[in-house]
Amino acid sequence: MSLYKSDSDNKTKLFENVIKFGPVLSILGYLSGIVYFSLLPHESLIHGTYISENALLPGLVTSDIYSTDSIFNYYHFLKDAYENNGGKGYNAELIHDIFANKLKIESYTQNFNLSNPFSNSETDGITSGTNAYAFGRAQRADGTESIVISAPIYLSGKKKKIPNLFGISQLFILADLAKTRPYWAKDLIFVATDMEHVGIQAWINSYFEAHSDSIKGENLRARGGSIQAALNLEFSDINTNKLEIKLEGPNGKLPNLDLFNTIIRICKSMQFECSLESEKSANSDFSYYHNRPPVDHVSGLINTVNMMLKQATGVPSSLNGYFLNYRIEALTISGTRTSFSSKRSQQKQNVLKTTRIVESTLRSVNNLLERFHQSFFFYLLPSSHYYISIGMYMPAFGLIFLPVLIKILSLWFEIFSNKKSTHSDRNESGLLMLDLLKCVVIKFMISFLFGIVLYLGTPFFLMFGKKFQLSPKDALMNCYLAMMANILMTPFIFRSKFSSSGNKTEAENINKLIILLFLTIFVGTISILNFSLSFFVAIFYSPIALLAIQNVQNRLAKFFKLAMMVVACPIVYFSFIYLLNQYFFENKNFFTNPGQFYVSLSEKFYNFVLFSQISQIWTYEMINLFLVPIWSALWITAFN
Amino acid sequence: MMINIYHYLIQLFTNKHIIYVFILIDCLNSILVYKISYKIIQFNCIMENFNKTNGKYARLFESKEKKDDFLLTEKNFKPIFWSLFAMVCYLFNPLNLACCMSQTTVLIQHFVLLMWLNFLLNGKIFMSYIFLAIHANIAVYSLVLIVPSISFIRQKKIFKRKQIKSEFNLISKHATVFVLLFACVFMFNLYLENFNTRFIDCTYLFILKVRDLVPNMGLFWYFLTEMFDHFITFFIYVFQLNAFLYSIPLTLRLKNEPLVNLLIQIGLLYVFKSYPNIGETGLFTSFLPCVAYLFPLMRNVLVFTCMLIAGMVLAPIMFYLWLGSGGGNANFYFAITLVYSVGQIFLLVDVFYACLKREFIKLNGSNVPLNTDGKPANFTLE
Repeated sequence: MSLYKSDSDNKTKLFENVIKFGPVLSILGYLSGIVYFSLLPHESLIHGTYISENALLPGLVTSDIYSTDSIFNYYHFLKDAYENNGGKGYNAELIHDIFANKLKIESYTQNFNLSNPFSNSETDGITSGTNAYAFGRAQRADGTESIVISAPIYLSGKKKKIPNLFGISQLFILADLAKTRPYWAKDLIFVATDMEHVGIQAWINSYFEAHSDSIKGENLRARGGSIQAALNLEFSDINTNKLEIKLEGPNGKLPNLDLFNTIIRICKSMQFECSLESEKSANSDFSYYHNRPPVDHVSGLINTVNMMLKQATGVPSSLNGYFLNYRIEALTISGTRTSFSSKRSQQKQNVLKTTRIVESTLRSVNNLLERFHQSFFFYLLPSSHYYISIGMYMPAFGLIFLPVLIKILSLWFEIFSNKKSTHSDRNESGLLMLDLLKCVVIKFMISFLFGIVLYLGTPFFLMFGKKFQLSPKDALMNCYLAMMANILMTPFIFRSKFSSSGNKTEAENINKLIILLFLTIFVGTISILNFSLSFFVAIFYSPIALLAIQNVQNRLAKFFKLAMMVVACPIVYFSFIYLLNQYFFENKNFFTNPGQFYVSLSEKFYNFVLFSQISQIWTYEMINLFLVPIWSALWITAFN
Repeated sequence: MMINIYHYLIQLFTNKHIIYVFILIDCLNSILVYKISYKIIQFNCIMENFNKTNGKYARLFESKEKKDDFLLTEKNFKPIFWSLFAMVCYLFNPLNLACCMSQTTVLIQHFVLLMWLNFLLNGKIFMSYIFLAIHANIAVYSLVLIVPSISFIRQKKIFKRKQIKSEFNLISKHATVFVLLFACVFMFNLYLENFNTRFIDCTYLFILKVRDLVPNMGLFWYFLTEMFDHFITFFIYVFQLNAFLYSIPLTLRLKNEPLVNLLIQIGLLYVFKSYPNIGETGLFTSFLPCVAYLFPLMRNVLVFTCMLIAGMVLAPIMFYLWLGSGGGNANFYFAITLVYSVGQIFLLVDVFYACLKREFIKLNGSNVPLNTDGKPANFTLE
């Protein structure tokens, strides 16, 4: 053993162990990661939610809402305005009118424009709307902090728009309270938004004087100070006997868990059914007033996966998400009906309880001395009473990604520690550089070129589509698939240029190392920002990347490898997830009808891209800019 | 003085054109990097040749396992190739690209430092001291760089077979010249400020006392935000002492390898500065190809490469999580800053280790000496 080698005997043994046991450790790590993740919602590993911020004191106040008469008055007034005259009378002007004249509080309207980000012309694609906002100034406070209660004027239902009559009526009741009661320490801001996601963004952007390319709103004429929390109310019907809470914000942000726990506890104390939107099993047995409901492992796992699917797209599940961009904790409370009991007294009870729940939440937030900072910002919810914190789910993610890390280590050892000292170095380094240039640099440049074309190309795709008289969604889908076909053809076109001369293995190993490093960096950084997205990418690309890198000789194995690589194309993979999502969670069977699947997929794809551009969601851009090049580099490598 | 220069530059060029100035300075820097690395490699080859002819490496040739081209000659470690590589490293380093795009003044500081190195290696000592004095007036920490320069001058004198009558004389002569030049630049600054001594507090003492604790990629700000005011002075003294302390011991140990010593010290002072900059890391990593012959002897290449990459990639994200998105706090960002700094320190220590190991092999041959219990010895850094 000589001193020329940089490592001692112990280190060489370590290298050899890693290379020898690498595959076994990888498979073990990957499987144990999946098993560990599935076991997370189990009784032994789960934790019950708790209120971290002691100032919240949920449910301790006696409610100030005694009768439902005024609620029903407002509701019927709005309903008449909606049903007469084809619904034209029911808009932000009417709401502004009620705030200003009947309730006599400070109220304004805000006009805003939405311009289609992909069209250059001024004529098509500019829609406008109006928000109404009002301030219930606290009598005895100094107006430096505020709470926002927002309600969209229309909700987009399955087929058509549904007016949010009950939600807006609750705004009026709460405004009445804000005006007359002395215990409010923060101002209440009531916002009635038009055009759903666009309206609330226009209002928030104007509040913080932020700039957006596609949404331009008027300046706000008054403000309420620093916003501590926001609630969004969406009620499609006045007969609600269950509340559903939507959490997910844009780009994977989540509100502070304390706000969610507060609402759950308040509902529990009022004995009103409340759950997550994605929760399958609802437990209406309130005997657990002092305890939690029992842990159901399977449904917990299903709920977790459902929440992760929603978080992964980066699209906020409702309007509350846009508050999270400015670190204002926000939730959406939406009401649904589970049973059709039409007893009038029951209906009155439900209405009273719903309004009291919202009021009680506001009273709890009113108690806060500082912003929400105590509880978790990164979590997964298997049910409304249990949570999985980042410390529990990150190890699962690490284990799933272990195969790639072990492969990187073994590639590194192969490259750098088997230097044969008999070769002469003179020609070696020159050949090595040339090999590197051929194998590594060209492949990566082409791959990233594809990525950049996809990132910048959406306006051009739509322009091409217009020339060929295609609808926008068809155009986008076709062009995207054309780019994918381009990438698939690349190895065949450039076959001769990519093969290296001379010392093959050295440059190819470096190539594989760099691809895996890119994948690691991408997955690692996204895991902090949007955990679910990186989880779904890692769980599939971890074995796929290793498969692509492996040199196989058998014809059948080679065919299998190439087939898996085609499936690994990002759009194929994500549409596969979409298919499974529709099948399991929304009971739409697309397996029997592929044509309809393609149509619905292209529509969803176009809506997703358009929405991402308007609301500044980076999921689509990141996948185009990083995952597509990584996949295309793997595809090209898989051919050698 | 620098503020006056910047003011003049901004007035001379409009907003749009000032980027060209920075690009020009970046290109000049890269040319200087090329020249400097060429000179460094040449000097190292000459030095090893000199020592070989002096019979210092006799035991190397007696050892059992020989590597013919272990010693540096111009044939097996081509200066042109490696200095071009160093220039490419400087130009395409993402840290330097970020600096150039954001038009930081670090580029001008690099220019001054590189001019110093250039003149030092070419033998024009007086000019080099002028530039070092200017740089020391901008960033106080480069004062310590006088020590490796004196070591280099001494080594060069040995090559020219001049007898050094007294090393103390040599050191004191050069040190006084430098101090005088430093004082001259300081006087010039004083003159520009119309003899108002307020600027001392704003420039020199600001760096030394670390009064503005803006979060940066350094180690100072987090500690000092957590301290009680009582103890801040003490901790500042300790931190600054840490920055200045490593110079003389390193020089004494690496007497025979003055250029590696120089590179390590440039790197060290950039890690322990009070307000470090990522461009400075970029500068000394772009000099690493000059010592590429040390890479096979290094121990922890994977460790520090991964730490540096992880630190560079995660630092902006953690900064965003803390101050943008609000889901994290200062600890996230400081942890990544620590990883980054520790990665740099590992890099420097590994270069030092490889240098010592190479020296050992050159002096003692490549046989592994046996321990007292008969097993082959392990070469570690104590």
